[in-house]
Amino acid sequence: MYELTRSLARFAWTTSVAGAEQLLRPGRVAPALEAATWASWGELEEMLQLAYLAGCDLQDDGLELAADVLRPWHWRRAAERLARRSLDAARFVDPSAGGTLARREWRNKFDVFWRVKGVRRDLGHPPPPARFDLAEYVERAYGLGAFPALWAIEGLGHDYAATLLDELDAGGLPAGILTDPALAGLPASSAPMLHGGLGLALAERLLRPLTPRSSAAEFRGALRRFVELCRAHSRPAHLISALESFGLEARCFFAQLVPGLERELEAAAGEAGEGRLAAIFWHGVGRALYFIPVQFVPGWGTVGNAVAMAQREAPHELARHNALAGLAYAFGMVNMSQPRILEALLRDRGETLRGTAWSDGLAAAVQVRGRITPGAPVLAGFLDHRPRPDVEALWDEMVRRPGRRALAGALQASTGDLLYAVLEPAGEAA
Amino acid sequence: MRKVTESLFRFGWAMTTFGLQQALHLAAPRRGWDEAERGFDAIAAAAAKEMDEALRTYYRAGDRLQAGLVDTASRLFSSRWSEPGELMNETWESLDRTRARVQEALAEEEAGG
Repeated sequence: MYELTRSLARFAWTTSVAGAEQLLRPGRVAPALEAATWASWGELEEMLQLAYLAGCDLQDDGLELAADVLRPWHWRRAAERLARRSLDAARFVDPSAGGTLARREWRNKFDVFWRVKGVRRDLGHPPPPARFDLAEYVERAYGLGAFPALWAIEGLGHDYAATLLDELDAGGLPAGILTDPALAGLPASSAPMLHGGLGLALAERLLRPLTPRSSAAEFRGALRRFVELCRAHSRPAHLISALESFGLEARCFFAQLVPGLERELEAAAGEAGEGRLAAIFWHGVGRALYFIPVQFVPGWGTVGNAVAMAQREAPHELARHNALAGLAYAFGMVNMSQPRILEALLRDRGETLRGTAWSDGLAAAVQVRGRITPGAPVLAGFLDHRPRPDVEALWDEMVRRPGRRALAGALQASTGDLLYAVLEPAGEAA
Repeated sequence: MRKVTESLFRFGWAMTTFGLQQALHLAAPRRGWDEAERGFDAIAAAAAKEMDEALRTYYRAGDRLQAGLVDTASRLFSSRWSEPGELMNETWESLDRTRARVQEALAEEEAGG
């Protein structure tokens, strides 16, 4: 009781002094206050961490809106934003078909998120430090069905790699995590998602010690180390799948580190000999924007908001292109079996998305599904979907034709990085 | 200014979620209390590390003063109230130790600076 009282008193005193420091530094963020915020987040349990992250994004959005309201020349933008928010919220509770699709899309991404995060609940593999037989649990994952298996395998890749990374820290591993010859018998179709999971585990480990106030050298060191570890533990054909998870993990759970990482991307890419790192990183960030906790706030978490975030957060054209492609990729992967969801999006925002990287991201999703669930009827159903006449031309231009090209490419390619296409400007990759 | 506002809002929200978690921990005695204590200490340590030098002197002195006061209060609660003379002595001794600790903290910072 004494120790607890002592800690509570110190905590109260510390936050008071940190607050005073902020008052003494008008116009600049007080480091102590920022450190207290960051440390608090690190202390939270998983569910509260997610609530905190969602709250931060909602607050940032609210502040941006408030800033627009305070500047008369931005009133139009503020009004548009408010109207869009109201429309999204109204659509979510709309009992008609439009509302049903909005709620279905929300439920789909929710299911996928928890399929990855809660894979242990579904498959029952032992928690660390116990090592488990990856092949056995991959087989069990396929028992969940082709689509749930994709995400369960990504989560499995994460948990398997996290356990082995503990062993690596404790004294080394006899073989690379996913290059171990003992894993040669794993189904080829599981490799991309397993590598995605490996990248998540590596990113989590390297991002956790960083803070928004870490030095440039620390950010660069983490990026370089990530590339080195991905190279050491990935099969060369799936390196990009692992690398892409860095942006995903960073934006999903360590959003405040993204600006620091962005500043060091170029230098780290040069040092690690990975010239495409910036593009891959931003593709991952785009994918994260579909799964960040605020996306699970009913009525707020819409693709439209995610697109706006991608455009707002990406600091340059390369980042914007890849973030949008990554977002479309995630959206396509999650909702492919229900093409009417995409049709509704195209009806609502098709003209805005036309000519952007959105088509590239969708094509990549088709390509990846073509490789990891070959022959699945979902692909034909998606590409051959007949939308209402007002969307038919857009569907053909943005979904059917790029998708068919990508699918043909995926079937012809015997190896190589499947995500590569989306890292290139539209049309050049095919 | 935007960054500062964002930072303040984040801080407020972080304290709200952290407070909620600590309340849940405190509802579970023993292990929960240990967890709560560890959480409070981790945040205090992280923030104190980032304070600038001038403020840190003030912070340390205040921290020791506070520790002394908690100590004194704790002794008071566990004292033998039937012997007022001893109670007074213990209280004065405890307060005197607190004063000495605060002075030490200020002197350490002066010597360091």
